[in-house]
Amino acid sequence: MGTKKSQDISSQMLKGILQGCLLILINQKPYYGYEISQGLSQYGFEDVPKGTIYPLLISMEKKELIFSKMQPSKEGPKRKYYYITDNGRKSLESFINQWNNLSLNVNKLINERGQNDES
Amino acid sequence: MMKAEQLIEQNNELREKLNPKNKKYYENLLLYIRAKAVFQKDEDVETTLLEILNDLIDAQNNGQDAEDYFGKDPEQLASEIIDNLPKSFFDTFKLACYIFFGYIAFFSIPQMIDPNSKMDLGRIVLMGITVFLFALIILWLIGNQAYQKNKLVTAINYSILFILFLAFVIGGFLIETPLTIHLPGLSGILTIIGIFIISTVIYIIERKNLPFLSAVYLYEIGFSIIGIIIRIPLFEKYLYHDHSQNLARIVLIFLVFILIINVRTIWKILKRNK
Repeated sequence: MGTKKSQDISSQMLKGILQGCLLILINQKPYYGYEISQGLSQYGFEDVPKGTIYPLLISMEKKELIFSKMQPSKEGPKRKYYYITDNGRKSLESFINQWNNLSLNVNKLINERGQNDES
Repeated sequence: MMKAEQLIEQNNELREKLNPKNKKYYENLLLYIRAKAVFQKDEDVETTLLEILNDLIDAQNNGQDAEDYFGKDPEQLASEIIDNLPKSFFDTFKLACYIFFGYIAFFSIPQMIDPNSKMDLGRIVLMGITVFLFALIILWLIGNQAYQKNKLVTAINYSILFILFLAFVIGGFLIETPLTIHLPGLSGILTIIGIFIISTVIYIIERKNLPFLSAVYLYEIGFSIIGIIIRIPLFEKYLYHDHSQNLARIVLIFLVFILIINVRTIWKILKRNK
């Protein structure tokens, strides 16, 4: 029971972080699915199964953080491109703030209390 | 509706670009999602399936396996996708109507052969609803089978299916409600024509999707014609002889024949999907 709960928590956290990362990418320019996964892999997410982005994209669209449009791709055939919305930009801002605060605090904690050679 | 059909056709064509291993991976996913997303909007489901297919083809072109790209637990991801897609009352209702009407057309028309037989409306409604529930259960089982590795569970699933089927067939004969009407003469002819017209419309629309529909439709034409002819006063005299008994026997053999043809077609479809 204990391990399942901690798995749930960390997978929730990962989803929240992934959502933030997707917003960062899509804010930069419109992306389609495979391009997004390539972007993620570039930044250290190669081990994350890319199938997870699909339910995430769907739920982000439901929450109106992004919207989609079928457009011709550079290879020619139409693909589903994702664009960010105003809500999405707000959510992006708050994600970046939260992440900065979190990483600042956690880093501080590690630096001050995290070393094991204290006696 | 047309949109979903186009997407399915595109999907069928594009799937050929996957190598055998990736194709199998994707087709399991396809089967699972289509079977489990009963209450979701068809167009949304097919759009997502096509999107994933396009991305898998890209991954393949870049030397990555579908399983490596998408993940080792596709069932879990598929469930999440389905949970996030919006439900559609209209699409579900349309499915229910099709199934309900299909039942009426298929099982009631043969009864109309005997103009003195009574149509048990209560039973038709009950059995129609049961068919719809039954279809949902079949879809649910197909969905479970897509990723099922446990042979025991598979055996149990098929056994449940078989028992339900028996109960359904027996129920079809035994259930009686007081809501019966007689449909002799003109009212009978009008009813038959009405059912026939609706069947024709459905046949024209769905013909491309369901190959065995032609056999079913022929069967309906046959019975409708007989049912109408028998109600024409000119031919009524045939009723008062034992001709009707022989006619019933011929009809029964015809019915079994059609059923056998359908089973082969259904089996071929299932094999193709595997």
